[in-house]
Amino acid sequence: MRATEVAPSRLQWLIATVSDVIDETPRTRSLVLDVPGWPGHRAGQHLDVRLTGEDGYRAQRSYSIASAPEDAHVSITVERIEDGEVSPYLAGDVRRGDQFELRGPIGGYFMWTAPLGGPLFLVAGGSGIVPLMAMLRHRANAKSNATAVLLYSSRTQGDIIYRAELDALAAKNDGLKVVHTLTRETPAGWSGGTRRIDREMLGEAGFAPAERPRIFICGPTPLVESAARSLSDLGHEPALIKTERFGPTGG
Amino acid sequence: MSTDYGHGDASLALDGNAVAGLLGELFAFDVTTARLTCDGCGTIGEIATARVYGGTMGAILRCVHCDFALIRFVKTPAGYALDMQGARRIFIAR
Amino acid sequence: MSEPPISRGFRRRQQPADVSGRVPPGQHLTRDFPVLSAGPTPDTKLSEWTFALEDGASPLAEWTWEQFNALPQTEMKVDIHCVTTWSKLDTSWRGVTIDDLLDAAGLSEAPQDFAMIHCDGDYTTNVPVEDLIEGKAMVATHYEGRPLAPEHGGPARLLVPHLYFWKSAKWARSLQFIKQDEPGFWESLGYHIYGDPWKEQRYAGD
Repeated sequence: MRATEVAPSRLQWLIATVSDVIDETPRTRSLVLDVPGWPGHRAGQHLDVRLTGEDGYRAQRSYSIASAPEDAHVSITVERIEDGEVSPYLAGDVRRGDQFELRGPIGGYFMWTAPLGGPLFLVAGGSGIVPLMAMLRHRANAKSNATAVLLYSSRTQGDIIYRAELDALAAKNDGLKVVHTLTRETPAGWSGGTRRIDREMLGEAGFAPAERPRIFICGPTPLVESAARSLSDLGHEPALIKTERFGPTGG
Repeated sequence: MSTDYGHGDASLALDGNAVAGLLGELFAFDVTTARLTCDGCGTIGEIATARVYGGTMGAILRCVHCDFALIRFVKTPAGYALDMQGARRIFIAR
Repeated sequence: MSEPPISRGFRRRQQPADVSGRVPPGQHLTRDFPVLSAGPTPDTKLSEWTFALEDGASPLAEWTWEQFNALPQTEMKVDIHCVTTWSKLDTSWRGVTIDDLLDAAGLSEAPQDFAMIHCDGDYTTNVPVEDLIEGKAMVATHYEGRPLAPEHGGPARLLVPHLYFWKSAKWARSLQFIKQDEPGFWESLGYHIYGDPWKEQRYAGD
């Protein structure tokens, strides 16, 4: 990748300060962070957050990076898990000026850069949209004309994260198509899908195997495994299908 | 992703991406793209695609084809224990 | 090295208060029953399930599911303590004590001083025989009056409640008596060879 070889090194914990808080949906919130020393990242990578309470109690969680590599700040989008320990804090209590530790970027497997090109088929379940949004933001910044499709499953319309921004990106007519599907409600006038992502939906929304799309699937494990299996059954090369499973636990 | 390093049920298990930060405390290279040869069935796959178990006790990475334990990784106050007997070979691209 | 920043207002999730004095050091009470496994939940059919006692490589006794459930049943109400710091009080179990297994095998005592428990999958754990006999342990098939759920170790798991719960091996299939203590799955990776929660023996060297 680079002309000069840099010796690999292990990640260090950095200090992140919250510079802005954005409520995305009733259950999710983005934190925009100032992280002096942040080495930069690629779209799709994640970071680890470590919180230390006043009594010394520590908790650590991983979050996908929501921001594009070109952004001045690092941002993450956190979904509040009921009965969770960390997410209610990050997606609820945290205020501008609050601090915690952070290390990253982590993971070169689940990553897309504009020079890799397309077509790009992104499949998201719930908060699995986060790393894929970083990819779409990067795609826009890079003015890439790689054809891209996002198939995004949410519980209800109100749960769709980044809805307005996705609408705006799709409206640019630069080769991006966004397909939504809802699994728990069908609002009046809804023209998107009305069931869980399945093989038929993947076949219809995505690309033909002959086009060799780069496929990224992110969400809860059952969705990811079923979608990966379906896409492989549809004839897509397993090597072109990249997956990242989010946990239902952890909080 | 928002994780707790693995779960018991295969249908809920996370993947190697979830433990990349933890393994990264020991390894200086990007573990997610490292390719392991399973000593149980010979399947070669990236660490990112292995299923992870062990919860907060440790990271047990298993082959998606045969469930063989490829890597067992435990961090204790004394240090890191790493058992890779299940991974016959590891390849890290430069 | 500088101190990490304190995250304002962050605290451990509220737990039920311990008024009993029954919670070992470093533990907190939970009302949940968290699931932690070293591998996928096995799918052993009851028609194929057996439980065996072995002395090294020599078989001592083996029971099918029907035979096992015809052995004397014992109920236990115990506190359990996981090394990941949760403790759960007054859990009810039913199964066959190790004493009754030895008895059914025609043994007045165990042939060796230590035991290794082997399970479906690759999980093992080691326990001294002294900690398995005299009512201290059983192979449990029921939890809270119902058949033990697969994610919690069903059809049968070892139950040794006075040690950290990783010793209560899920999906137990055989108890092998061995001459010398040997580390099992987690013990080989740095967890304590014995695991007494009251001495906080979480890791080797504790």
